[in-house]
Amino acid sequence: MKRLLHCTLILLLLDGCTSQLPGTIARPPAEPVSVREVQRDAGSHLSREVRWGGDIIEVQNHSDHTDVLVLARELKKDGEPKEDGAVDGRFIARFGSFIDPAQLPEGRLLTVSGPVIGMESHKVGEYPYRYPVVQVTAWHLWPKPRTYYHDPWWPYYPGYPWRYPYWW
Amino acid sequence: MPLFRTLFLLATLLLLAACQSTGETRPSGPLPAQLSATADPSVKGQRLTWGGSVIRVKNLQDRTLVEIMAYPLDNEGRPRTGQKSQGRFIADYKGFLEPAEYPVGRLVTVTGSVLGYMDGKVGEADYRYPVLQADEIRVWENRQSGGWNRPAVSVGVGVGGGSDGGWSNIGIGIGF
Repeated sequence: MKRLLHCTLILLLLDGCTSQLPGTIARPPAEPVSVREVQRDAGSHLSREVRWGGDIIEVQNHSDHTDVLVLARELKKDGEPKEDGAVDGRFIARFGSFIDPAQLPEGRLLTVSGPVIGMESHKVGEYPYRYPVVQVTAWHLWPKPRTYYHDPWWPYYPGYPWRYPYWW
Repeated sequence: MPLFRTLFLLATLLLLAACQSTGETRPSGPLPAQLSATADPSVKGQRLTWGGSVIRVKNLQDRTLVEIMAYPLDNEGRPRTGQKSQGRFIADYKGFLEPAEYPVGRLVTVTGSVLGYMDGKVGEADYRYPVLQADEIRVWENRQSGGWNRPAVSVGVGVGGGSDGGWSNIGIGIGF
C-alpha cells in the first residue's frame, strides 16, 4: 500500500513537471513540417499547425502585435531546441498582443506552436529573406542553458570595410 | 657508449618525425597574402583551396560574401589557427548563407576559382582582398577549448641496466 502511494506520488510529481508545458509544445504535430519545406512550397502549407523553435534573433513590437524573429533549430522530443542543433531557417513568431522585448532576450531559446498564416519578405543584409509567419497559440521560453558558451553568441559584424564589386 | 648514442639519435629522429607528421600542411597554390601583395592577374580562374576563421559575413541580394582570415590547412583541410596567418580573403557564394551559421571565429575551408580582387580597409590601412568563388564551403565544428588544436605528443623513455651480465635496455614510447 505504501509502495502504491509512493508510486502515485512520483507519477503525480512527474505529471506536474510535464504539465508546465503546453501540449502543443511538448508534443509534435501529427504531420511535422520544417521551415525549409514551408519556404519551398508555402501555398500547400498555409494554415498548417507547426511546432517550431530556436534562437531568438529579434523582437519587433508593432501597434497591435509582436513579431519575434527566430532562427529555427532541430527540436528535442519535448520541444526544446537543441542548442547546437541543425539550423532549419528563419521564421516569424507572431504574437497577437504586446510582449515586452525584455521578456524575450536575444539568443534565448523559444518554441512556439500555431498555424502558418503566410510568408513575409524581410532583408537579411541585402538579401530578401522569405520568413514563414506562425500565429502563436502556445509558446515556451526555455530556461537559460547552463552551458552558455556563445561568445559572442550572435554574429556581430561592425560594418563592411570592402567595396563591391571586385576588379582585375 | 656508442649504442646509447645511436639509440638516442634514433629517438630524437623519431621524435622529430612525429612532430613533423602532425605539423604537415597541404601544399597548394598561391596564398591570399601573396595575391594581396602582388595582385597577380594570371591566377584568374585558378582553382584553389583556402581556409581560415570567419571575420564577417555580408548578405547581398543574390550572393553572400564571407571575409576570412586564412591559416595553413592540416591534412584534413582544417585551418590551423595556431599558426601564422596567411592573409585575408573573401569567399563569394552564389546564394544565401545564414549568417548565424557563420559567426565570428567559425572555421571554414573554401574551394573554388579565383574571381578577382576587392579593395577594402583593415582599420585605416588599405587592403586588397583576393576573392574566391565559393563552390564548396566546409564548415568545421568548433572544438571545445582543450588539447585538440595543440599537437599532443608525449614521450616516455625507460632505461634499465643489469650489472652482472653487462647488458642494458632502453625503451622509448611516443604517444599521440
